Amino acid sequence: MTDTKRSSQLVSTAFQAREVQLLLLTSVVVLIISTLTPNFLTESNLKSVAMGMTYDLIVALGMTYVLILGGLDLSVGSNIALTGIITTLLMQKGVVSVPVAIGIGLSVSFIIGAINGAVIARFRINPFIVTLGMMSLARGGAMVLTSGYFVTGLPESFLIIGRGEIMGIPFPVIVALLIVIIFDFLLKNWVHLNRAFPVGADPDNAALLGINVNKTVVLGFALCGLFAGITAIFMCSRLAMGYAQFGLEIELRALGAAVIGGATFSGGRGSIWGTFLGVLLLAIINNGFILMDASIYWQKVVNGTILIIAIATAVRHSRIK
Amino acid sequence: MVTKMVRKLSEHTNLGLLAVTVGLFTVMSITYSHFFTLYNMEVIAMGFVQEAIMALGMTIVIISGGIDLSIGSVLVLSSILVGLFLKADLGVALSIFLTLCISGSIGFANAVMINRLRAHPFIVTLGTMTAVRGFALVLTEGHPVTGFPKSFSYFGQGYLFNIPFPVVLFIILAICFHILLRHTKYFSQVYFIGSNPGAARLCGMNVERFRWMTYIISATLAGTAGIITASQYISANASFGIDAELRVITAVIIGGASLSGGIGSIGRTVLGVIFLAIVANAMVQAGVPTYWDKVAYGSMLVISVVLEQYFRFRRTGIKDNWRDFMLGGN
Amino acid sequence: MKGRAKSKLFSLVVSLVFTFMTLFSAASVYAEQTYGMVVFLKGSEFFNWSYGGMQDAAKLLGADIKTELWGPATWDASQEARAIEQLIAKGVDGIIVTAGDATTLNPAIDKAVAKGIPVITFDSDAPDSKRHSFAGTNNYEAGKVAGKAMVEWLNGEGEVGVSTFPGPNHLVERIRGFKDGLEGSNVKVVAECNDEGKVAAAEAAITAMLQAHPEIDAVFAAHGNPGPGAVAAVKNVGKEGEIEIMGFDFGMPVVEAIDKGQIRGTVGQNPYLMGYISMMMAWGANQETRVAGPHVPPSVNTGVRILTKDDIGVYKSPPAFVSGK
Repeated sequence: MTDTKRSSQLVSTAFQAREVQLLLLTSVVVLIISTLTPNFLTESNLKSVAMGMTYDLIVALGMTYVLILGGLDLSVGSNIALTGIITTLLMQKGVVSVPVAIGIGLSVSFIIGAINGAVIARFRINPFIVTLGMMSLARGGAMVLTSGYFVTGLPESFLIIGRGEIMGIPFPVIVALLIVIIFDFLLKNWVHLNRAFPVGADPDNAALLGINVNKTVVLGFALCGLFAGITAIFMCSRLAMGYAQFGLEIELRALGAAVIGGATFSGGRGSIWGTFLGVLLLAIINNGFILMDASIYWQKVVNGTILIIAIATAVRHSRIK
Repeated sequence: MVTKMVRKLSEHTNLGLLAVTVGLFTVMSITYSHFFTLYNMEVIAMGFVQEAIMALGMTIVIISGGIDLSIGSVLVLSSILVGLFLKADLGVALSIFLTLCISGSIGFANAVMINRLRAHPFIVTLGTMTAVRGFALVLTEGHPVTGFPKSFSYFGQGYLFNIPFPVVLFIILAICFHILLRHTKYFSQVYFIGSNPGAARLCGMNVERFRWMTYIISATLAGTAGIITASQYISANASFGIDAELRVITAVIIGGASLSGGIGSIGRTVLGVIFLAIVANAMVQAGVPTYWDKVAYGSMLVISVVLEQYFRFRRTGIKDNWRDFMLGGN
Repeated sequence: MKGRAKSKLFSLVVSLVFTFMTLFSAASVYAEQTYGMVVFLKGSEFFNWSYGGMQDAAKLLGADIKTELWGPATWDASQEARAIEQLIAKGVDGIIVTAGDATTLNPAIDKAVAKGIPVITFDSDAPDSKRHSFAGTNNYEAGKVAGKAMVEWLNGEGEVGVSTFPGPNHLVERIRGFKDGLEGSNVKVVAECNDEGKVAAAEAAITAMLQAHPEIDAVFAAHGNPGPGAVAAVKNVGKEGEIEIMGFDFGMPVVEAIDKGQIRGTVGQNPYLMGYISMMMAWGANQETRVAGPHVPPSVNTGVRILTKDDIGVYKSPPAFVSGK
């Protein structure tokens, strides 16, 4: 047990460099954008950037954990859609009360993730394929339930969650920040979460150390699913609807942000604050382009290039060989 | 005797998948009279031929331990480029040649970035995928490219010995790559490089240079698929090829390749391609209820892969340890 | 061991095949007549209305007429063409299609017609193909109506921000029509933002656009999704009631926003009628009469107008689309 704690501490020390780098990069970008356009550093713009990045952020946190485990989850977007649909349908039909509907929705998202993890662990199948299949399954399920229609007519008590503000800051932003702080702390200090590092770095070794690798994997994917569920609740609440097309392509952005933040595909590495900075950076750049009236056609080109540049300026981790 | 045949067969292909494919084909042919017709066979083939061609390149990339997410975008860019070149009166041959060169260079760029940036191919090709499709949008600004010369339509619409040309092209390419992969020393290195790049380097193989080759092939084949698409529809617009990489990777993985590298073959991929082509058609023929096709697709994917693991375990008695299959490996 | 393994293999395969069979034959074997609708964005509410219209018409025409909905969920025109080809191979009795890209679909449509299958286009036409008829309003016209209405809203003078996303041709057409509709007045489009086609991204994009252009008096949503996002964006910059919003189509969120007075009006085409009339025409084209057919008009204009609060009542209950029927 001390071995794992020490190795994870070593890992986190190594990462401070990465997070500092990102912080510097973000500051530079903010400087550039605010000189180029006066509209960036306004209260309403910053509020909207913060709100907009909440969804990507929460999903990216779950994705980071899965990446640390050495896997990945392509089904988060569909998870968001299906969870959102189930929750909003329940509320629309008035079948159960709002808190119960939310509880059911979060459970569904958790279970979807757990199924992913269980299939991966039990059958030793590549996470790419399993979550790819789940992605189709869940998205298809969301479509089947709604035929593509929006689910509306949601009770006010639900909408408050996404639209409420505390001291002028949107509630989801506060919750997301709290999650970042708490999750980062727990990941570094709580053994049950911390095990992801040794499991991801060398699963067979971890098994020899007495860690239940199967259980860690299942719970890890379930946690990722749960984060997707939380995102779904906020999204449906803020936008006042459930929609089968929610969460499209969010898995790509979440993966990108997590990798920029320091996670790798080989597992054993990842940083919560790094992911946070990754999401922030991408959101700021995107926002900057809109403010500067960039052609909508060029935006896609730039987004792709940014992803690559961000990796280039980031730490060269050892995806060697 | 039968078991010996079965065992030999299972070396070349994914047995579980073969059984399911044959089973599905038989059931469909019996139940639906329009299924087992010459016309439908053609539709089945042409309905997946672009993905099939790209799957050949993807097989090599995946065996080498990488992945190429940019093929859908390379497809759409090349279909637009070949159109623009043709409209600029460069002639069919030159237009095709230039387009293939540009496609190949995108693959080269992918490989160089993967090598230099030491980044995972997933992220690099993801970036390329977005950037290239964005570039395709910039070139067209949402308008389709039309006005191709008639002579160009042979590649997508013509027939050779009564078989559609794209299918013939696929067969020829598949045979070529099969021979290359199995019987040439250079190409069969891919298995070694894929399963243990470190050891391969120690043995003197130039892994970085080999990577150039795999990604260039993958991108060039995507370019070929794009040219064929443009020829099929004598037009090109920026919406082509969305999600194509998913279908291609599914075909290769269902066929039996492993994302961590070192496992896979052209034969397996061909079976994966055939299976998916049949499934796509079967769903229409059977009138699968709206929106259930996605559900069916997802479950079939997982079931096939689970089956393959099951049969592999039965055959070899080896249960994969974790390292062998988690994405990336070490 | 070998024998048991083989029989396990066999039983596994057989059970799998039967599972697939049951899933597939949930829909019956070829119904008496099958008509297929092909769209380029399956799951879009707009096309759900059209399909609802098609289903209702089919019910009227006969109990043995079955309808199916096919097409990609991703705008990919080549996938749409493939869907048509698959339907041709299946031997359907009629195809109703909205063309994601006309040139791409022309060969497939012509093939269907060559095989004797009537093809009716709706919403987005393929005018150069051999389709028998077209039902709808074209996107350019719809945009123009919107532009003219916007001039009225702003009393001939003002700045407009447009929310759209790059890629689909029909949005380009709508915006072109919109700008032409503004001609002759002092209303100008000053900005276009990319909402990525998504509801969630629209809010952020439009907010940023409004920030960058505080002079904007109105927002035009070129498609169905950014409407609610525009409402939230206007609230974010604190200009509720000061900025007019014109939505597109009548998804429930837009309808509700109109009801609450947050959106002034939306561009309402008539997708239900498009599907309904197309089904009638496709069926009609198959019928034998004394005079050699097919008897379909060259095109049918299903109308487009700006729907405001007084008009939206009927849109509050979309066709109950039961999956699988």
